[in-house]
Amino acid sequence: MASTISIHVGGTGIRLGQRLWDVIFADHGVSASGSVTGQSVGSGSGFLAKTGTRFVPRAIVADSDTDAIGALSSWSHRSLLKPDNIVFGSASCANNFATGYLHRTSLRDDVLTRVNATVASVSDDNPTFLLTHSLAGGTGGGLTAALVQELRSQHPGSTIVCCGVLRDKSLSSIAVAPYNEVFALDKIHQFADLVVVLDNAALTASVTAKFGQVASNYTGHNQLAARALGLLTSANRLPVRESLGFRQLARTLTPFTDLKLVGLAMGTWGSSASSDLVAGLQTGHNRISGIRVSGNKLLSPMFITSKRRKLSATEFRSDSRLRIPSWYPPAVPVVETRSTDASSLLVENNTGVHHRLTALVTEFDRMFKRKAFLHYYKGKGLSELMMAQARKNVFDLAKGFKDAG
Amino acid sequence: MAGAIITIGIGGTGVAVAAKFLRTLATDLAPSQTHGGGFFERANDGKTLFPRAVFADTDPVAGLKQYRALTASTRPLAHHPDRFVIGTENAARCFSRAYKGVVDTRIPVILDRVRKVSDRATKVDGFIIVHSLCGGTGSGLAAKLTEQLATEYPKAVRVSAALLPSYNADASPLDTINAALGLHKLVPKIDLCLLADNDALSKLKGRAGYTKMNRAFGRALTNFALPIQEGQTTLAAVANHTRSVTTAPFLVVSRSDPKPQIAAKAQVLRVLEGKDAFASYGSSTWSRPPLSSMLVYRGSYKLKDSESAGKELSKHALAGSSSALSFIISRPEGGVGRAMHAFTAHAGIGPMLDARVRQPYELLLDHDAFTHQAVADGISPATLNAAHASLQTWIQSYAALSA
Repeated sequence: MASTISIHVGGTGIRLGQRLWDVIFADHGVSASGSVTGQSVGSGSGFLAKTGTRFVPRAIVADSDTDAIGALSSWSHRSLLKPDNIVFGSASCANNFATGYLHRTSLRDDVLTRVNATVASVSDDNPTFLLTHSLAGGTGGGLTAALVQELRSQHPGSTIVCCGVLRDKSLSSIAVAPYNEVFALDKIHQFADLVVVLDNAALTASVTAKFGQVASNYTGHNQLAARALGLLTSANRLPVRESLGFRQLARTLTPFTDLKLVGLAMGTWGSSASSDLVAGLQTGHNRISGIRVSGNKLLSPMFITSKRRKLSATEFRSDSRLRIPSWYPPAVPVVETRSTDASSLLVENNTGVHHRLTALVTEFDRMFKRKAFLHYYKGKGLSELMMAQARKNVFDLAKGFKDAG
Repeated sequence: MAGAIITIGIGGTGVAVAAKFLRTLATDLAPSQTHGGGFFERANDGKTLFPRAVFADTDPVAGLKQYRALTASTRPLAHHPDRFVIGTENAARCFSRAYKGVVDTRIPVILDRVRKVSDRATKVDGFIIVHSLCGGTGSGLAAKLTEQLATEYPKAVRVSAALLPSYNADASPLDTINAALGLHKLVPKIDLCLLADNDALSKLKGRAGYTKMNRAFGRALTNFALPIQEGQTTLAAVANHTRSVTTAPFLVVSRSDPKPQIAAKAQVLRVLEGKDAFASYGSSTWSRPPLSSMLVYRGSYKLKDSESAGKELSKHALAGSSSALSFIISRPEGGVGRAMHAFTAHAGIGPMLDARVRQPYELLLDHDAFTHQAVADGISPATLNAAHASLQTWIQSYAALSA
């Protein structure tokens, strides 16, 4: 399988990345010292690099300041990160997309240097880049956008998968977040092969349903999102049969050009019937990307599940609750993995994502019409025309999803 | 002396099936065949058998795994290490990536290895290309390579043994496009196409894993090759026989129930009724006799049985304008055991291709779903439409035959 290089950008991206690695380490039995206990790590080699007897993550963390990186020091597996692969700047982006996108070029180039050094160390022609980041932050949105754009031009044959977190309005106090989200989504969607949307608002609902309260540092959110991403990547790391490379994953999930946003739904599974699983995945708080079920079409589904029961692709295909359109081929991809997580994951390219995008554009317009906070972005070199173009692109994306299928 | 028949296994499934096919065929090789038959050559020591085979996979990791499995456990065969060509990046289940060379398929290297094999024979009678039509490598590389082989070895018979898309858990929506484009590019360049699919195979083998399904297909290919290896017929004769009744080169593989207590006559009926077909098409389509069939069965049935089987065959298979070839393999027990295999051209192949490939493909074309990926890799929209037209032509040719 193709090697995967993970890049975790900004505070959210780093915290989510840390949790994701916890899942990967647990799956492959990698201890805090990098030794492997239990089963072979072999199939995880796409994510882990072997140095001597240790297995270390093929990961790069990057932030414009040192807050989130400093917080990593309490992480049990912190010593496995290559010191060189921890890249940080001296000033935060202050929640401004334009700062991260246009004014952190030396930081961006530092990250790219580390990425290219890692690329040189793997044998693949075209390794995959897996990014975790927030969309609302200045670094998570802006620096990620700059990175993805540069990665695309430097590695045209590679697959770029971005896992972007949308904020929860009720928990986040950043007024300009809608601007950042629109600008970041526009650029990242343009250059990435697949954008996995994680909605903190939906995650809040799931975490509240589970624990009754949410932690202020989003620990529950990140843990839940990381479990979902762990299952998503397990199709690449731990398949029962054939490994599903990220390129195949991206192509299977994007039936239409320029509709590259996918959502996740994670459910556990009581009985053995696939209908039971489908019911679970339809339930509100399992839909961690905030995609509504009713009235929408599932343009392309993929099920990822730890191998517990025999599953029939045709059962899923004929399940009318999933709302798979009639033109979809008879085969629904079901990947069985050996993940330690017993949950099942539905990765979906769903027209329902347009609700979330439309809401975002509405929030954007509310401020944009009054030119509120625009001077922050203009002052950092983002013209009003560029902003209007980004807004139009995201609006068109919403429309594209709404009209698809 | 008969020329060489070169087996080419392409992609994960193709390599596994081809390896199984050659291994069982080797156990069936009579020791008297000192030259090793068309499929093998003997080393100078007179014992070691080398298959006349080339294997190729684009996926470096899976390819290496397959290579190790192949070289570790293929006795009585010895594999020449450089006859396995491994690429550097997998085709990610995209016909277009392998066919258009977006990934390095190393076709010049594969052709070089084929030349090395063919240089050691007086002439090349044919190729048996084993592959799946679901995978990117299996469909794309097989099609591209067959085109090259057709140019370089125009007189050789080219037989494809192909798996059609299945609806099992590992299926992908991309399979539909791979199969349609793969067949479109492949079929004009081949003389025979033996069809199977994993849905039917897994039903036959009781929802078994890939190993067993690949083995079942490999064994069927062994029985297909046996009459040729035994010198009872030639690959060209088998191809001509089928092509005399249908314009499309498809044959469905089916197998008798291997239980020895079933008499040969009943076995023939079962096979001809398509009860144990390796490709799923409705039993109703079997109510009509096959257009042509090649039956291979073992001489372990009593002579009386064989006679009545022959009679049954002429009664059923020869009904109307159809025809049958049948071969009895004289040595009773071998690698394949007692199973009887039939390779049948049947009007039911039309509806099967229609349901399994054409209809899903047409829906994708109509909605422009997934097609942009092939276009981005360099497949023209005209080719996408031409693939549909090809399918329609074959399906109509079967409809005309059954009318």
